[in-house]
Amino acid sequence: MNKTRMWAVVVKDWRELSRTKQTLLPVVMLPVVFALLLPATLIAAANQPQALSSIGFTEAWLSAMPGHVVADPTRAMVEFVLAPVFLMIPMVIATVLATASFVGEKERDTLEGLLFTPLTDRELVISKILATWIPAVAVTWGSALIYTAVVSALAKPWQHGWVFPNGTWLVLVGLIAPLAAFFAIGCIVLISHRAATLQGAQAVAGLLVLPVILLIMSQVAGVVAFDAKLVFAVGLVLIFANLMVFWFAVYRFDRDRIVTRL
Amino acid sequence: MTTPLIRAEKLTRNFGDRPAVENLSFEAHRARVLGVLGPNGSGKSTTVRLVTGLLRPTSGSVELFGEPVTAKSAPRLRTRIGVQTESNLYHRLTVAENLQAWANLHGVPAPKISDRIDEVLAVVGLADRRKSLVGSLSKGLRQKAKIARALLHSPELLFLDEPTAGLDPEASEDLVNHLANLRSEFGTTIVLCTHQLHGLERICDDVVVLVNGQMVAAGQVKELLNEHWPKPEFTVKVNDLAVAEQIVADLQSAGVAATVTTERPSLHELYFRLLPHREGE
Repeated sequence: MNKTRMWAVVVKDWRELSRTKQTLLPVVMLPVVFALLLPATLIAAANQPQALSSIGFTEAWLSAMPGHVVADPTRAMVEFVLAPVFLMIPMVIATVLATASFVGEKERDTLEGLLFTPLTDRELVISKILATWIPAVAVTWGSALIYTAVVSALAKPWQHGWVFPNGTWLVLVGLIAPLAAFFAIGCIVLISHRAATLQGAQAVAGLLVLPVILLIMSQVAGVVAFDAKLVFAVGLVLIFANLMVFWFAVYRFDRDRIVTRL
Repeated sequence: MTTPLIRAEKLTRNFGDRPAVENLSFEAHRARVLGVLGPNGSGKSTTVRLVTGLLRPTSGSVELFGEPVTAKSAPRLRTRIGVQTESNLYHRLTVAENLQAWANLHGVPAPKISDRIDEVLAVVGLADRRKSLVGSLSKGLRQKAKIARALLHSPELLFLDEPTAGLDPEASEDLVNHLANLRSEFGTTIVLCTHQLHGLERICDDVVVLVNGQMVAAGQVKELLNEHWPKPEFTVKVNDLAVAEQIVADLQSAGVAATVTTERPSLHELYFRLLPHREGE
């Protein structure tokens, strides 16, 4: 594979994406809302037992938590309740960027020009994946840093005998979140074979976040806790799913099929 | 004759049950201009896609630079070709950013990219629009930028799809002159796909005429013209009607078929006369 050619596509995509308001908005707003405002509000609420007790479902979600955090709702909030958000952020951002990159080329009628270049099918699809995966992971890691700062400032874990981020969190953000982003992008590549418009692709892509929302709901309902076991299980599922998606998206990417549907 | 740059042999491509092109055989040789002519939907774009390896033929074969076009060889062969189609440039990037991306994709050495961009922009008359966003350009200027993109890496083989569409007559003439220059000075082979000749016929050496995906004529332009009009007609131009009528009367009395027609300069010629005088003319 020719790295110069691939890097040319990545830089070209980054320039385009950075000048598209519809793409930039979620990239900026998601970390602000889910890594700053929401955690700050929830940690502040968890710090006040009387406020927490007025929320009806707190007993339910606390009941599913491991024993060592049941007595500390703030820690439960920081380590467990907000954990799935860091699966949602990479998936949403990857979805937004990937639809703009893959389906956007079709919608703006620029894809054929790219297909006439010396890029091989594999170079084209992998460079497009990198162009969206790198920013999705970077924004997720940036969000994790913001979240860590919020937790340190508001929950002050060292005062209560616990450390944040812990090992499970580091695995979640460092390994599982990039896998989630890759999975979302791979699915968009597959969707882009058929989708002709951004709207159509985003409507289908929105379904990708459903499992994460289900996870959040299940935890709030007290069915599961986002502990090391669950993180490990999610990681295994994502590795398997990514292998499948990579095979379908990269190895089965076919210029002829793409051109026929332009 | 040397190995043709393009050799298509009984090329057929079906979309479902419908053949887009059928049984197409032609060749394009170095330093010649091949016109692929035909109305809308005649299969011109499909032909270019087949030749460049974007589409696989249902049957038949294509060779580029003497090598069969396959999924493996096509990317390498595409480094030697330039293509201008209806496909857009990136509107949110500047003209220079678009060309820079293309230069990198075609392997133009990094230190030479900036100078090469200046050269091709000067050729198409866009030197002052280097930093303009493509989205801010008019249709004609975007067309010029597309042509600049195709010329950027000095390809041996150039495919141009309706290159004069959207260009003003002056720019069309400049482009035709530049293409003639590319052919004669650099030995570039040019494939022109068009249904509106707009002066392009001046530089076509060979032609393939397509109708509904079928090839209805192919060969050298001169030979085809001789074949269809074996007896040429001649024109004598005089600027006095009485003299013209006298000449025609004399010719008719000698048994030669002759008529008098009044010819005035065209609107095209008037337009060029009214344009400000251009440098070098």
